[in-house]
Amino acid sequence: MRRRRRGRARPLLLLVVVALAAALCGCAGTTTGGAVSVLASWSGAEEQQFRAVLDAFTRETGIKVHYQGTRALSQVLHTEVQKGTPPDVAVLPSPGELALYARRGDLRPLDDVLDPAQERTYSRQWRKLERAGTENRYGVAVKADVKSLVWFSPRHLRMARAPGTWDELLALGRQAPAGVAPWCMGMGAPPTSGWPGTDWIEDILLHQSGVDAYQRWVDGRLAWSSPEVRRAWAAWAAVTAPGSVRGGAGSALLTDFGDAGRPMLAERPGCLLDHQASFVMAVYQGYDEVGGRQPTPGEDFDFVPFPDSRGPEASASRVWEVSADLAGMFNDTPEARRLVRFLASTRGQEIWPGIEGASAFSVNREVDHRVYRDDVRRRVAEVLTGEDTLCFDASDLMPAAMRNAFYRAVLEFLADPGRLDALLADLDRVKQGVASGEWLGFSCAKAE
Amino acid sequence: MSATTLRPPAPAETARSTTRRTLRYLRGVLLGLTVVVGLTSLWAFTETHRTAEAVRSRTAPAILEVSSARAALVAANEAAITSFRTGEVRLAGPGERYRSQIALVSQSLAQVAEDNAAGEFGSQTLQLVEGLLAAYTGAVEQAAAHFPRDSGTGGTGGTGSTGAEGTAGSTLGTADLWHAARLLHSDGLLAQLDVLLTAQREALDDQLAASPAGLVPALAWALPAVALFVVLVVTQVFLRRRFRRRANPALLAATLCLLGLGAVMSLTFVTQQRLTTTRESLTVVLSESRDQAAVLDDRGRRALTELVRGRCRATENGCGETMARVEAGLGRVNAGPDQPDDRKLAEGARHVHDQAGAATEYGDWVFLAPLTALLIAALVVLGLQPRLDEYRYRWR
Repeated sequence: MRRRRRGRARPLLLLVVVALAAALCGCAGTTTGGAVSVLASWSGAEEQQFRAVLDAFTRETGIKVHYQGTRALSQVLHTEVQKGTPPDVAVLPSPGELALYARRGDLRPLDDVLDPAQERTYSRQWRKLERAGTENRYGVAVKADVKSLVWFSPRHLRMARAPGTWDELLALGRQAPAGVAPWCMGMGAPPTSGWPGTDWIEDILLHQSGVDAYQRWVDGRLAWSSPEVRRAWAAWAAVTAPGSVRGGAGSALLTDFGDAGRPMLAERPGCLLDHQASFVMAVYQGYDEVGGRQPTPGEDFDFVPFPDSRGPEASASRVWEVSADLAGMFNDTPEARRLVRFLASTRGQEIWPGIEGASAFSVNREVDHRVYRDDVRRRVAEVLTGEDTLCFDASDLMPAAMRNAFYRAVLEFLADPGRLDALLADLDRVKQGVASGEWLGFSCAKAE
Repeated sequence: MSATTLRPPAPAETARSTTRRTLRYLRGVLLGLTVVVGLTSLWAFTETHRTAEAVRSRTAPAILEVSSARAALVAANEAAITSFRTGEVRLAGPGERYRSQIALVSQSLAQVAEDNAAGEFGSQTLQLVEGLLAAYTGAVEQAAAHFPRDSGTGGTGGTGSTGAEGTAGSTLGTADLWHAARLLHSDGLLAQLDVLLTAQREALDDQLAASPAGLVPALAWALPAVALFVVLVVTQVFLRRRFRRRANPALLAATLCLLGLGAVMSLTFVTQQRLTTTRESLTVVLSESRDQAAVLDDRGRRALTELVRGRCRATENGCGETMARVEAGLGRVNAGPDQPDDRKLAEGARHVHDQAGAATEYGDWVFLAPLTALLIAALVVLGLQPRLDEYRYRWR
């Protein structure tokens, strides 16, 4: 009896010490299972929109997602991969980067992650583009954009039909009344100023000289000083000529691409046409030029396809320049696999496009186009899921040195179009300095 | 064995056995509480001074370095614009003042990389800042290379170019300078440095909030200490009643030791107070630095728009929409000193360093907590053992 009483304090003391020790070592932490890390470039409104997709995934699976959004995605991802601690899933804004990681063996193939039924929800073109020129499928397009678009305001420009040729497009611009420039243009996009101009050259080359020439150029097999490429620059010179761009070429150099369309939507327009990708819709809808109200798609702005001047090739199939944000899997975990499957699924793909004010388009063919908030967006979605030939943005696929030189050449050309031959020779010199292994060798995909 | 030992316990003997049990119980509780007080005091003391050391050696320097990088960047930009405006660019590029300030930015960012207190997010933001800085300096150097060799001062509005090449150079050089400035503003470098600064300051807030000298964590060691004090007093009273002694000297000494331990532990509050003062001083220095930078930045932006407008206004709408919007956003900065008062900022930074250093002053006294607890335990045993022995002898 005495023995039992004497021992009563010991368990109490033990309990206190154990509780204290537990508190000291912080044993009450959260569980670590059932989580997946995601790295992407989206911040601000786009991050919130992507988080809506990730939240739906968590609700459906119970798997937590640790999202990190950084504008320095390339640097951060490169560092993390080198340290051996990559995120489970990363969303890359350029297929070129995805292909580089796939070639180096950092990415895990998704062929056995996505089931055949899921594969069939994507068109043959996207199944090819998402392979990024490799043997396996490494990417899932989280969202995509069409680049070959020319925007206008139906309030200021009546159009009986879309221009069918380059000349018709230029003629459309010439309808501009006095004091109104045909073209809106902005090259500013620090630190990559110049890319809106590269989109021009790419679109012109693709729609003038065709898919084959475009692919050879993107692969580094067609010289910058070749007749095809030179012709594209010369054609753009007609757009950038004095009197054709609002404020002149100098103004285009000083204007951010996101501000370029403002005079087009203003009550009293300053320009009529804007060559820009489909993501510009969200930019337009942020303008306050239309009497202080949010611009309405279809009423305040609309698009026509970039005209195709390829001749017989054009009548067989249209061709569009596109871009995509591709999710790749760096760590093969069950959670990462489930996230990739979700991102590729019809359910996962229809969330972002359905968000008010978002400019996100799905390439999944089973996504009901009624999720898009307006007809303009639906037409963009039809292009992405249709039967036409699709080509990735050329500069996104070029080696970094070539891409940066291309951006720079656009700015220099705008400042002095007379230097075109010297600029093309300079670009060829940069091209010669790029190792042959750096060219990716893929860009376009046809339906057949 | 005598007959008396075989008798059932008399009422008095039952009382004596209760006394012995109570003595043993009190000893157990006192020793148990002493162990708990010793452990929690050691934890609180160690953690408080670990926080102080982290603030002194990493967090405060990281905050000051980010602020310093921001101020130097604004100064560099203003220096470059001045060089372009005065024509110094023709011979000296963006100028010596620009280069020395950029060197300062790089040094500060390198130091932030070492001291970063904001974890993975801080590292990623730093990477973004470094990438943007490389793009910014590249754009400024490119602008200097393209600025027309034969131009006069840009601020007067003349292009100064004599031929097509000069005009093209002027256009491109101006655009490069404009793009460089856009990299700085408009969700660019300065905004990212602000994000980095906020992350470091939040890390400091978290460190201070998690310190054991905070109110809630302090209860974790203060409550056992109070309980020990109460039990010591109760034990004294018990001994006095049962054994007719005025006071137990050893337990009295243990009580005094406990009060001494309380005094030692109060040093954690002193440390915490010094850390809070450090944070307040940091806020003052950052505010001063930001105000000075805002004035300089405003001056730089005005000079730039004047310089660029001088070159683009020859054409109708030649300056574009972005310029118009930037100009509309100018003119909101209150008047301030003409030149940044570097000495004042340096003094403020030194003051912060001194305060952070003072917060770590008692870090070496950590041994006092377990030592005092050990002493209390020894005194408890010393104080109660004779009574237990005495009672055991009587009972037998």
